Amino acid sequence: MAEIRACRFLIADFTGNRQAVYYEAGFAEGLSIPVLWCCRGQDDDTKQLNFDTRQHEHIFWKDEADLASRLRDKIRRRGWSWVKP
Amino acid sequence: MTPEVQGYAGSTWAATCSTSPRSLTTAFACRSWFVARSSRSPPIRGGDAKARNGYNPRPWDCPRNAPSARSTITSTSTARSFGPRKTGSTERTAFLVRDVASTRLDVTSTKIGMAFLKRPRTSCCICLKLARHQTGSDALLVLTWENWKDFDHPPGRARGPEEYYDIVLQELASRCRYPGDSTPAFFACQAAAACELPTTVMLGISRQLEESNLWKIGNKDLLRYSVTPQRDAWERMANLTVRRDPSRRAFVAMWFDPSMRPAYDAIATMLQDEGYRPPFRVDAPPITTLCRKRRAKSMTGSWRRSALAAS
Repeated sequence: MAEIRACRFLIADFTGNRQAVYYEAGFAEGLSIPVLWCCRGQDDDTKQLNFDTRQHEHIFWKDEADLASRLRDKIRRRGWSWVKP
Repeated sequence: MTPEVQGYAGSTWAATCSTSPRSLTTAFACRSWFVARSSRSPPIRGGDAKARNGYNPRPWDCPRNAPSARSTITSTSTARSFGPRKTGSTERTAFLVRDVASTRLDVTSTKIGMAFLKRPRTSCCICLKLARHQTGSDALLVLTWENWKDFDHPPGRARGPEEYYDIVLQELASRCRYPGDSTPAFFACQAAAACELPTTVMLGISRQLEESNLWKIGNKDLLRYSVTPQRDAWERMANLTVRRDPSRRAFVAMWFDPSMRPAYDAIATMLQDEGYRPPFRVDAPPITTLCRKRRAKSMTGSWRRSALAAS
C-alpha cells in the first residue's frame, strides 16, 4: 500500500482476474493515482473483465512486445516519461 | 431515470475533443435528430429532488423547463448545420468514440465516451448552454454543466466558487509564452471547456478578473478571445503552480504466475527505459526472506568474515 501511495501511476493487468489486482487498482483510483488498465486478449474482449471496470479504457495486448509498446506510448502521450524526446 | 432529451437509436454520434488534453471536451454531433419530450414519470433530477439530495444550485443552472433551452435542443437544423457525417452507423460511431478516446482524450473523458457506448439511449445532452463551433472536424461541441452531473465521474475540480477564479486564471494565462505577452486568439468555448465551466460563466469570471486588474481583455469575440495577464496575475500564478515533484516510481499490479513473467519483464524494462525505478515486487525473494524472519521466534546470526548482512 505504501508503494501505491508513493507511485506516480499504476499499471494494472487483469489477466487471470486476480482479486488483488482489482483491489490495488481500486485503491489507487481512490487516491486519485492514475491507473493504466490492461489485459491479455483480443480487442474489445471486455467480457473477461469484471463488469465494474469494463468502462475503463483497457489495453488488450497480444504479446509482451505489444504490451510494452502500447504502455510506452500511453506514458509518453500523458507526459509521464522522464526521457527527453 | 427518464432523460429529458434523447438521441434516438439510429442517430449518429461522433466525438472529438479540443487540443487541451486534460479538458473535458467531448463533442458530439448528431446526424439525425433530437427529440425533446416531456417526461412521463415525475422528474427525478428536478429542483426539489436536487435540494433533497443536498445539491447546491449553481448560478448558471437554468430552470428545468426553460423554453429557450428546449427550443435550442429541438432545433434539428442546428445539428445539421455543422457538417455532420453523411454516412455512418452506430458501429461506426462506436469506433469513432473509441478511437478518439484511446488516442486523445484523458481518462475522465474516456469514461464518458465508454458510457455513451454502453448506454446509447440515455442521458446525452441537456443543452442548457450549447457551446458549439466547428473544431476542425465534423463535430458539434456540446458542453454543458448539466450533463456532467449525469456521469459517474463528474470533474469536480473546484472545491469552492473561489477556486474557479484560479482555474480560469491558470487556464488562460498558461497560453501566454512570457509575462507581458497576450494570449493568441482562441475559442472562448474551448477555454471554457478546459476550465470545465459553461462559456458564459467563464466569460463572467474573466470579466471580473479584468476588473481586478489581473488582466486586460484584448478581444471579446467568442471566436477570437484574447487576454493580456498583468503582473498580479503572474504573481498569483507563481503561487498556484507550486507543487510536489512527481515520483519516479510506478506500481505494477498483476498476477504472480509464471506465465506472466515475460509480461512483467517487458513492463519492467519499459519503465526503466522511461526513467522510472525498477518496479517493486512483493513476491521478490529478499522480501519473502524478510517476512520469514519477522515471523520467526528466534534468529541465529553468524558474524564470521565480518558479514555485515548478519547485522
